[in-house]
Amino acid sequence: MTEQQAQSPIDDLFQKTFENLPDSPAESGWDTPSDRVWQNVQTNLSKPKKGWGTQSLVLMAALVVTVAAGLYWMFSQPIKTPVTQPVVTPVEQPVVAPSEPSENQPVASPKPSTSTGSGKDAQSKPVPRNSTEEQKAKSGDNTAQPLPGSKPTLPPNSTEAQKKKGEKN
Amino acid sequence: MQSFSDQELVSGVLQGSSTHQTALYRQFSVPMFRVLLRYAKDRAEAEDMLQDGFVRVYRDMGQFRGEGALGGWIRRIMVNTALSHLRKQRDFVRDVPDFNVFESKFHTEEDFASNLDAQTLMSYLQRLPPGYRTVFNFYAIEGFSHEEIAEQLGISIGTSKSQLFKAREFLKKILNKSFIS
Repeated sequence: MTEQQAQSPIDDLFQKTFENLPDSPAESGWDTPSDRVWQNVQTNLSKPKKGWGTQSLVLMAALVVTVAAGLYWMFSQPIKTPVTQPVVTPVEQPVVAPSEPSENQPVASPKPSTSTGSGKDAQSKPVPRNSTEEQKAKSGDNTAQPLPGSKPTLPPNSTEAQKKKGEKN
Repeated sequence: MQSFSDQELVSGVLQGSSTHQTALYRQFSVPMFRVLLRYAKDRAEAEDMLQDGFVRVYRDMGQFRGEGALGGWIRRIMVNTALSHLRKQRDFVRDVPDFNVFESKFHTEEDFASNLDAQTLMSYLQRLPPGYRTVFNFYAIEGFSHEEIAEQLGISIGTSKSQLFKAREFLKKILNKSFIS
């Protein structure tokens, strides 16, 4: 709008004619809108707004955000249980009892395995329940170990026992 | 009729006063109707534009900053409303190669004999195709540049120049015919 424009005589004619119109409407009424326009404008003004207004939407959004933040805060806190003060009673010296394997501890083998493997490994290795070794122990397959310093007893039907029998005879 | 200043009208309308709403309409309806008659093809279309324009004015009154005259602000809303109406017409800015302004446009021979007053010139403008009319209005009367018109209407600068040239040619023909008769 600021730059100089090439105006033709036609442009000037129209521009001057429309700019120099009197303030009052023409008697013929060509430049006066009908009453219908104002009536329709009034009808539009008195109409209640359709749907949600911008203000209502903003308020609703703020409410949703607040509720969401509150829920997040509530669930992110650790659940506090009522703390009861423990009753302090004088503690007696605990009697050290022979330890029994608790359920949580692995069941130790009834005796160290004499077969292969180092003793340390065998002792520390827990024997799971229902394992082959435990079943062996249950079925009495294990032979009694000789006490230290005693003569080793041989099984009655072993080859060595029969040899000894033969020597005696 | 009670007259109010711009500021009084604005604050009254914002408070929902029907007195101020009526006063605003009475003060600006005629000048705005004259503007819209130039953009519309007839009186009925101009009245539709005026109605929509005033509804926008009352609705958006809170956006008036008071930096200029209230009339200028309302006029801008009216022109934008006219553009919205025109954009709804498909390809409203287009060339009309076989357009004949004299073909069943003038109702009687008295049209030619009338003086070239505002009403007559308005009727000449309204006989142009919408694209020609809009570009001529923007350029010759509102004072927009071709760049601004192109931006407003979503067309190229070349199209704006072409539409203006053809509008002038058609108006020249009408006016020559008018003077001859």
